[in-house]
Amino acid sequence: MKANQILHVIADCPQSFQTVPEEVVKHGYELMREPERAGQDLHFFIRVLR
Amino acid sequence: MRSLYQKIFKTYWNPYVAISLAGVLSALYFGATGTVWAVTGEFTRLGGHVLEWFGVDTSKWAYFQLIKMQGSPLTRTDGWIVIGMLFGALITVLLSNSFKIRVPQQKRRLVQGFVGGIIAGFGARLALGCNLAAFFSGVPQFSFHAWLFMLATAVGTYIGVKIVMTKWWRGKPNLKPATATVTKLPVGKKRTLQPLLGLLVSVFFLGVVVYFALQGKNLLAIAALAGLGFGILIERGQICFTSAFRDQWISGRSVMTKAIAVGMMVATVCTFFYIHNGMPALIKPAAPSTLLGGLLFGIGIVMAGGCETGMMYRMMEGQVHYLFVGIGNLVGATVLAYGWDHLGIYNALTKGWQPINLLKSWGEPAGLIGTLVMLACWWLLAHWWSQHYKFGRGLQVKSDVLTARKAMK
Repeated sequence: MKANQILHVIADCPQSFQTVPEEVVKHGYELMREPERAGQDLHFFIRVLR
Repeated sequence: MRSLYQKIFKTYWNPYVAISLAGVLSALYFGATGTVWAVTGEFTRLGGHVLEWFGVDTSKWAYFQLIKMQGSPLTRTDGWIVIGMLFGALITVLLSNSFKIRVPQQKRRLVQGFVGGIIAGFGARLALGCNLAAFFSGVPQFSFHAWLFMLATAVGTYIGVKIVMTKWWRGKPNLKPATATVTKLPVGKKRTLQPLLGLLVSVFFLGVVVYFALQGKNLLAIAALAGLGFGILIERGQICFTSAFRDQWISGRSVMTKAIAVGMMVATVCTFFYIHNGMPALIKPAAPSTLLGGLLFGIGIVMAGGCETGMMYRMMEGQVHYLFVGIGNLVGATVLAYGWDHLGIYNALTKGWQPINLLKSWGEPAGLIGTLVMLACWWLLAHWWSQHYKFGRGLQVKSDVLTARKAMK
């Protein structure tokens, strides 16, 4: 992926709610907003910084 | 009332709180029954029952004599711990409206989970316990074998990470290009069915507990209640022993590791109180089988994506993957039970090695303080590791959201 592209991750493992945000930032990407829950699915928006 | 419900069921609990409560509960359970919070022994017995249904005579197998096969899961405290955990997790999953039949997109995950489950089940029983009896509730018993198991598990998870990071293991992610950024998410229908079911299931289970109490089967009532508590705590805290080890190698994430270390300190102090007052500690042999078992267990749980405890609540969340892991655990444990005497595993790896009780070898004060210091060192090591971990990929920024946001501006 290139800089400024956005990855929209849809996860249905509840634990990803805890792990994904932390790991996104640790790996140097930006979590664009708080993870959102729709039904039993979790949505993450991740931006590539550079 | 509503906000309390939201707080308890709509958000996951702080893992430090959840695992510390589990530590207190496990000590109370030990105090009440003289046994520890454990699950894989019962899995092995279940495997034995399955063999019996198929007409295999397991009465002469040394391993089943060792772990005692009397009765059925419904008449054993160990059985009710497992049943209670499954019910406890199911109840909070339903009350939080999180149940969903989840099938992995890549079917290879099911095979991987099954194979990993077998290796983890085999390793756990080789060491005479999984992440509970040989670790979370083994260290607080001051049994030295739990430390060996822990060390070997850490090494095993490192090997496991090397395996699961390979291309052939991971497979291709399902990436789809989107033309515009999705800003509105599909709104899930508001459903009250799951919480309602959760309520029904809890009433049913509490009914069973009351029934046991009225029948005078107090131990079973206690085990069922304790199991219920453990199930609720591991699900609400999303307590994952696999993640506690694996994530350190993958991303340097250490929250779960540190939470478990704290929970074990709590359990150690509470358990010490009982042992000091005369309860016999449960000590297992510290043998080569402990090390090899821990190593296999570590490799297996990373391959499976969950250990014997994590598998249980995830299965209740409706994750089909973990059904395969669970069956794998049963198979692995049963194979070990067969090999224990038939393949000479006991003679080769366990025979002649003694159980080491740290409270006896070091004396009580030193045993207690030494155990707490070792756990504190583990916490500090995990903390240090998370601060200094260098990533192979991605950017190297300081680890908080704000820094990442600032970098954008």
